[in-house]
Amino acid sequence: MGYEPVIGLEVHVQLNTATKIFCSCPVKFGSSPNTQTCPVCLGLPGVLPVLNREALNKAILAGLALNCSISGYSKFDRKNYFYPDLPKNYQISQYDKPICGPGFIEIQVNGENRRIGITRLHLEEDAGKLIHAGNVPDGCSYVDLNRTGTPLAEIVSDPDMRSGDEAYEYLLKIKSIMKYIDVSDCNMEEGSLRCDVNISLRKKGTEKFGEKVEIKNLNSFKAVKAAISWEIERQSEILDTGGKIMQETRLWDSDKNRTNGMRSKEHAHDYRYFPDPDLVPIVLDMAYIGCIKNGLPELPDAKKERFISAYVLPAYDAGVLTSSRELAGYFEETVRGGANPKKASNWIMGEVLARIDDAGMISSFPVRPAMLSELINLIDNNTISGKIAKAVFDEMAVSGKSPGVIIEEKGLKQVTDSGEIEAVIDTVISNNEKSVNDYRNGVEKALKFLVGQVMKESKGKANPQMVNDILIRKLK
Amino acid sequence: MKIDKDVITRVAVLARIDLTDDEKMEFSEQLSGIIGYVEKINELDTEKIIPSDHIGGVKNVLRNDTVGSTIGEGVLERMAPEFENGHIVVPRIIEGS
Ligand SMILES: [Zn+2]
Repeated sequence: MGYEPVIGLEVHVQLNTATKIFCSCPVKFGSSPNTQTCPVCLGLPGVLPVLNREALNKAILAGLALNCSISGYSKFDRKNYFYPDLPKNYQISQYDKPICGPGFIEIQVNGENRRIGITRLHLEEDAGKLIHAGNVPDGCSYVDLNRTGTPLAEIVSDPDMRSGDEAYEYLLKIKSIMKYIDVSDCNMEEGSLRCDVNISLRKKGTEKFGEKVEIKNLNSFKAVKAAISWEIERQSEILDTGGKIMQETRLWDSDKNRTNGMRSKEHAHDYRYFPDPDLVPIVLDMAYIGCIKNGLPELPDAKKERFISAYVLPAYDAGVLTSSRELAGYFEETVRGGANPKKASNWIMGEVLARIDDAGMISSFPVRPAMLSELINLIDNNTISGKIAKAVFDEMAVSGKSPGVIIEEKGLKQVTDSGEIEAVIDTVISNNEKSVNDYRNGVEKALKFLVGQVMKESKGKANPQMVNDILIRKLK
Repeated sequence: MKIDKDVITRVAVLARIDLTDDEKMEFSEQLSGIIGYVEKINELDTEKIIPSDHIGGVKNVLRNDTVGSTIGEGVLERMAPEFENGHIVVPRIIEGS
């Protein structure tokens, strides 16, 4: 077909401040409707919004983490439109002088590094929530204004992405960075991260952008990927048959897995932005920005590089372990407890991650890093076998007991006493005449069976290497 | 700048105001007069002047991220034209198909 998709994303992240952006109402998910409001966020006459210092600082921190230039001068504007979730009939946002200017992030797709430009990051207030479903009477919608005035950072990317996979990786990276610097929970279900897609197609090899379609109502990263695939196909088909793409907003239908054109009564948007006279400009000097920059932790890319060089981990391991700051911390603490880094990585990527839904939840996982390093060390010094270790880990993950205690309680200590092992081997040899003869006649796999029998007889506690060695000697 | 009937019609749509033809004519004249009066400012040479977003020179007014009080029980209910189950009730708005 020969089209190249041109994709840009607009990501809204909810800043995790205690209060709203311009008033002192608490920001809490799940409060009773319309209780977390005040005259300022309700837009009652005569009130004065005042910017939350923490929201400003978090926006600057986010900008720095995205390699953005921080504006020495920025201001707030009113974006005018009518909608029932917007009590003032305007949203306070930033139009031509956003807090953060151009930046970029790096993503990896199919083993290839890609740099995705960030156009800008600006601060704005969220709108309220409209409820159409549930016990809402026919012909009516409910309005809950608790969310009104929640601080948002809108991150606008350059149209640098070329596939759904790239958009997916971009979102993962944005989420990872925002969580690393602790400015947002980035929980898509609770709406603390939202994403709109801009996508157009152009003939391969041409520069000029095609007509752009905006996709909204994307409720998961997977939906973003699926919606992009769907749009690429839809637009290709139209162009292939000589049609024209209409510039429009389309909504993702996650039940039917397709986008639908919006039946909007609104004509072309005319937001009539103008400077908000209630809010004074933000003027920042290098000292202020530098102070915030000092609070920037090691970011995912840098941490990944360090994990590769300092712990000699494969890039894949380092990528998984540094996907969340908490998980990276868990790994480093395990290594500090004396565990071999690669073994620690294997255990974490395998057994640990198999038991938690979200790497960020590692802090509440019953197996603490010190316990995991103890377990790894117990395998290394032959106290238990790798197989027993898995059973011990199962128990640790449930009870939170240390591996030493579990091994003691259940008598799982590996048998390394050769006399004890020999006794078991003698029993197995006398009970398995056929296999013994097979082995002596050159059937190699009979040995494996006999080792298995010994391990079974010892309830997995015999040291496998010793079993192997003694068996071979005795069968000679 | 002449604020003609088309401009008035457009602004009325954006502001969700219904105007009769007579009203549009009336406002067109009045608003043209007001804008025309302010247009005198265009006679000034502003070539070397940075546009100001804000007057007064005040900057960086910030508040601490400390939780304050919210509106009392029942206040919003008394303000809303219709209120039910803790929610303001509005005519149904649904986008999409
Ligand atoms: Zn408020």
